[in-house]
Amino acid sequence: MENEIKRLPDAELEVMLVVWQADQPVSASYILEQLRGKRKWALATLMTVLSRLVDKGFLHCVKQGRCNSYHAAIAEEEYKESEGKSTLEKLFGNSIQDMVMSLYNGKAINKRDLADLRALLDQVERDER
Amino acid sequence: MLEEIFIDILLISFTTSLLIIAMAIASPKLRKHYSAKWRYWIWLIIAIRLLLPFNLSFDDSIISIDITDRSALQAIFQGAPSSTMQFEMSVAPQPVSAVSDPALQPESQSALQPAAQPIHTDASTFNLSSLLQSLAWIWLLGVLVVLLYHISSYLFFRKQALRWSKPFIAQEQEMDLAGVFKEMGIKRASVTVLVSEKAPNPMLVGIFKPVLLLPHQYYDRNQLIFIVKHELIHYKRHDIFYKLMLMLVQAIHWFNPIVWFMSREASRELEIYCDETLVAAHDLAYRKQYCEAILDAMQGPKSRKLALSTNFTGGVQTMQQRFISILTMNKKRNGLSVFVPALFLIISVSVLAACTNIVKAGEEMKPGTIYSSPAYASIVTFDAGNSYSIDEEGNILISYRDGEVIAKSPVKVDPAKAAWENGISESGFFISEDKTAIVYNASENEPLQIHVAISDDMGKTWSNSIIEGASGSELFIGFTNKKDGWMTVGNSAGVARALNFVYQTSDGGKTWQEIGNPNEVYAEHLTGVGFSSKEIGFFGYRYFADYGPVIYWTQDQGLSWERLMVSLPDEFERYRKNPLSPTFNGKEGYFPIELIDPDIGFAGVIYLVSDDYGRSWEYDAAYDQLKK
Repeated sequence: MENEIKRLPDAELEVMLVVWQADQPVSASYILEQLRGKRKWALATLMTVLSRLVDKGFLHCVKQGRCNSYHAAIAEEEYKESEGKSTLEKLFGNSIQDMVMSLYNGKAINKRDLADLRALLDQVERDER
Repeated sequence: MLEEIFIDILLISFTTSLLIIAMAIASPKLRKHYSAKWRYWIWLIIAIRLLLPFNLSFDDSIISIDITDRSALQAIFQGAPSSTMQFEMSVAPQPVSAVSDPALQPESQSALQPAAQPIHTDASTFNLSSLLQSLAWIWLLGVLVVLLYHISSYLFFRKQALRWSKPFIAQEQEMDLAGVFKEMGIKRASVTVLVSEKAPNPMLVGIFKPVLLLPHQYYDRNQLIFIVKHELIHYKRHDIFYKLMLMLVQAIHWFNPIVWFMSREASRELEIYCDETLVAAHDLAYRKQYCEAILDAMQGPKSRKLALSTNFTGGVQTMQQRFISILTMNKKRNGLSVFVPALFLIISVSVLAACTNIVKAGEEMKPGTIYSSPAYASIVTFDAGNSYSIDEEGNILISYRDGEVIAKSPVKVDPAKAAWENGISESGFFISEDKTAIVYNASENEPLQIHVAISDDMGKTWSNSIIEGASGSELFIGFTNKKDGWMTVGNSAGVARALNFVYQTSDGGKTWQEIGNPNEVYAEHLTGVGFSSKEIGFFGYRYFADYGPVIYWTQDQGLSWERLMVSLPDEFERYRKNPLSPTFNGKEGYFPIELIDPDIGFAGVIYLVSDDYGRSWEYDAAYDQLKK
């Protein structure tokens, strides 16, 4: 792509996430199915979003018999890089941990910590014997 | 207003910090022997206490611990010299006030006059109070900044996470998911499960429509079940509110590192208690499985890059503590032997009660000069070093700290006339450095209207309010703290009869409400009035039918009145007795009784003493002030 990659609106990004994850050309009904837990779209709505994505150069549309199938024209990593980490994201960093219930604080653990915890569990294992 | 809240917050922050430190010291011991539940609840109580800056009344708490000298603290924050609450009862046998009849007391008049010109020279008080004001604003700004930061970061994160999210729908895993929900007794539809790579870890987000966010979908069966179970325990327990409360506490006490520490400890306890609940009644193998599952979850999916960052640290200590707690918990006591934690709970509650009493000190004021009116002349029942006088032009001047500060009140009288013709009443003054109140009849233009002038800053500024429908010339006023005050308006109603009406304020004197009066029970000229609280008040009447003292009192804010029975030693039987205005210092009360000898007149003052807000009184010879 020569031109700059545009930032996608939420709805279009959601469709792209499904396509990227599938890793192979997918049909509209497959996408609809995958989105079911989050959005209840009519097929026509999805078709509008899909054609917009094709226009923007995010999707390739391939005719397969009676159905169209879609595959990504832009790689997930490529898009992610273009959207980048906003300054806000950097600014807020770790502070959301004060507002949500986390299983653990993923941002406050590094590889060495993991090794330490592993050692702790192994220690218990050994004490057991 | 803001400064008062700020002072309250400082006091709470300080006193509660002591409790937090005590808790931190006790924590390792508690952790070793008792379940996390106790610490969870204790932190919760402490957090609630930190959030309630306002006056909770624990007056009658069983245990009351005085942590610190309140008046000293007050003085530090208010920038005024510490006023020790010593009760130096100075009772003047003669009308002390220069007001009663200017012509008779020229020397005291002139003594006060020169000082009357320079009004307010107390520069140090001024500087400190403006410093306090700026600090209060800085504090408020800090609170808003912290809140704004947290809220906007939350909203931003939520938006980002949802934008990058996809529904979690792997068929076989959905079965497991539904199984956990069912086991926990939660409807599957009440929590949405989404996968979003913007989530750094599995988390439960949102208060009203909670969403369980997973960073990816490659969890194995065991991991998924443990993760969902853990988050659903939080959900069931409404821990998100606990967390929000901690955030709010942090915002309000942003200047106090001990509170930040407490907030961190409490969030950790939240997790430990959650783990504890999850593995309760399970064997060590299960517990190990749970730890392994968390550890695996932290490692991230094998197919993907490690999503861990090194921006923040400190997470590992929490995790180590949690693992140890999960694996060793079965040795801890949970149910029956709760003595130590229960004791801790009681201590925290009572310390909090004591703290509350200190908070009350925020409303407490320096003692005020109190007047009585035994025979159309005023007597200073309690001299707080403040007094009033009238200058040549008829302005009423208020003098504070034995004349150190002199301020002009808005009340003006005709200096040629006696007080009672002038619309003022010798007992219609209450003069404390924190609250000056004058009740008076207005000028000739608007006769028969009772006004109250109030100043909270030693006469610098005054507010004035009119008491609709009240009229009378026998006036008494007083305050029990900065907010609560009372006054009586009385008028002669024939021979040996006077009707008295009672008003109270709870906003420092801006508005007044009439409460019940004793007129149906007893109606005579008042010589002294005093309240120890909003409910309990005493009316002292001029002796008449018997030799007195005639005291009526209410303990239900004026709904009912009854005579206070006083037993005095026989030696005082021959005197006539006029009750003067009682004074109160918290629970302690002092009730002066004027003795009048049928032959020589004034014979001295004796005192009744109370230590229960005046519910019971006893004569104490130690305070006798008898004319020899």
